[in-house]
Amino acid sequence: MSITLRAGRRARAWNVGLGLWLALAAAPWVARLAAYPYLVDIADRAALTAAAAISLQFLVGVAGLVSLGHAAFLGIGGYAALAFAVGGANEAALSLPAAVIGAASFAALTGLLALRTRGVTFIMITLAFAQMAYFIAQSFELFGGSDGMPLDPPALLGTGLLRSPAALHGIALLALAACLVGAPRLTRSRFGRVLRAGTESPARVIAAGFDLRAVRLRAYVLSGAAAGAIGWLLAEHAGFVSPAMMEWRVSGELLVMVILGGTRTPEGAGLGAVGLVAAEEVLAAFTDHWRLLLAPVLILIALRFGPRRP
Amino acid sequence: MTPALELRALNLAFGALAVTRNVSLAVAPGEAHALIGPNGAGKTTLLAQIAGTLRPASGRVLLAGRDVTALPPHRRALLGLARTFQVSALAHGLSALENVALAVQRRTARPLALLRRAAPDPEADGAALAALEAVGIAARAGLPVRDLSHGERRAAEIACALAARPACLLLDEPLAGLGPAEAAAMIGLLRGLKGRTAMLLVEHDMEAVFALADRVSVLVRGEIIASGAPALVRADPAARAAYLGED
Repeated sequence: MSITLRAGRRARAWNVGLGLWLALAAAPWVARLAAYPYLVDIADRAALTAAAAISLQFLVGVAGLVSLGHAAFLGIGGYAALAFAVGGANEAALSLPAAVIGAASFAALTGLLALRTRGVTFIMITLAFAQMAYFIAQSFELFGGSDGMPLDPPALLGTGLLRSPAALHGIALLALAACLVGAPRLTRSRFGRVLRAGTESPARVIAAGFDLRAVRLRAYVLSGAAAGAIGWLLAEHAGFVSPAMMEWRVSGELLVMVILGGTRTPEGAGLGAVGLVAAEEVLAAFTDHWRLLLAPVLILIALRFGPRRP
Repeated sequence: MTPALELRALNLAFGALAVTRNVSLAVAPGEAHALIGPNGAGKTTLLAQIAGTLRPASGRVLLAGRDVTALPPHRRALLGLARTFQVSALAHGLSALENVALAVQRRTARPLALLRRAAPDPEADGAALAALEAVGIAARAGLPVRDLSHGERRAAEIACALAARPACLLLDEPLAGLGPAEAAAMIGLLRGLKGRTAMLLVEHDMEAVFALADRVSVLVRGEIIASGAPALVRADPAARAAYLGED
């Protein structure tokens, strides 16, 4: 019984993920039919945002680590792209690994301290570290200070392969696919099981011989590294990097996306991200105060689907 | 022979309250040692110092002759120390089998493999199922822990500890909350472990203590006031006054 239920859930997860991915992949054709080329741009941004939300969902839903500083990793990835562009070595084969290593190092250093805390304290300390990164970025006059800077598309091993919109579209979809396929696998893995058990009963996991804090640090670094790569992609896609990439509001919005998706599943977080990006596009057409329209929707969703107090 | 577990002059105080006072004891390999005493005597606090979740202010904890006083709990677990908790500490969303498999998984070559599926895990599930078999709940292996009865959870706790093949087992009130039939089964199970695993057992059920223990220590206000064979402790006037006197 429980096995068929689980199989059913997995099939549904697969359908949701695939449906989401296909909808975003179809954007160029839909854009041509609708004579609205801007749609591809929105779809790519939605795909990358969904990938970022999934990397955060792994922390929140699997490792039990509610971070309010996830945008810092995106920003570090973005500034890695910008640094190589400004430095005259605008080569993806250099800047992308730098983005990943930079974000992973930041995660390792801050995680080492942040993981000494739990709950609300963890939320606040991740926020504090992200704000530090934000203000450091603001102070980099070389990179445009608080205004940020545009950057040219990078070379890929000396070729211009990455300089077409089609390539960017393909890579955004590839990143989303990697997250949609990779996150559930990680969740179900031995590593993921230790994290899941650790959220329910830390004492059990430690008694089994696991250094739970070290396991959580590993999850934090992994998630940060993924977000670093996604930040690099966001920067290359936008052709622009500024401290706004790692503003705390971005971290908050990612968290909202994860919560909208129910926190439990990667495809839910992806759906939450695409939903929020789409809502922003649609509602912003009517009013500048679109967030005000969104708020009641969020409250209704939370009341209808959220866990209840007894 | 080197004791499986040895405590040397442990001391710990919470503020002005001395909860552990100069406690020394040794548990030989395969021996069942019971720790009894009134509520608030510091039994669970002593177990916490052995497991490593609390640090003693002074004194030493030795596992098979090795000083582990400075080691964190997970390192002690890897050195062969297993424990059960007074209140079951199982992951309720995972199945009984998965809870037990965690301990087995830790001892495989790649305990944190990123892409290797955890359930089913052919490398770990066999030994985990055998441990559940040993405690008599193999038929319930696939159920999430939240669907198990209290007695089944206690049994699953023991299975988690056994699956690690411990040299020394700390049991914090394994009979608490069990019905008579379940308690009898648990006593039978623990008796079967005697001679294979050293056990330090905290328990309030005196009948069980005297049925199981090779030796008994009486802890009162953080201090061991009597220690020896069950019959000797039963006859000791100080121990009777402190604890046994009430029946």
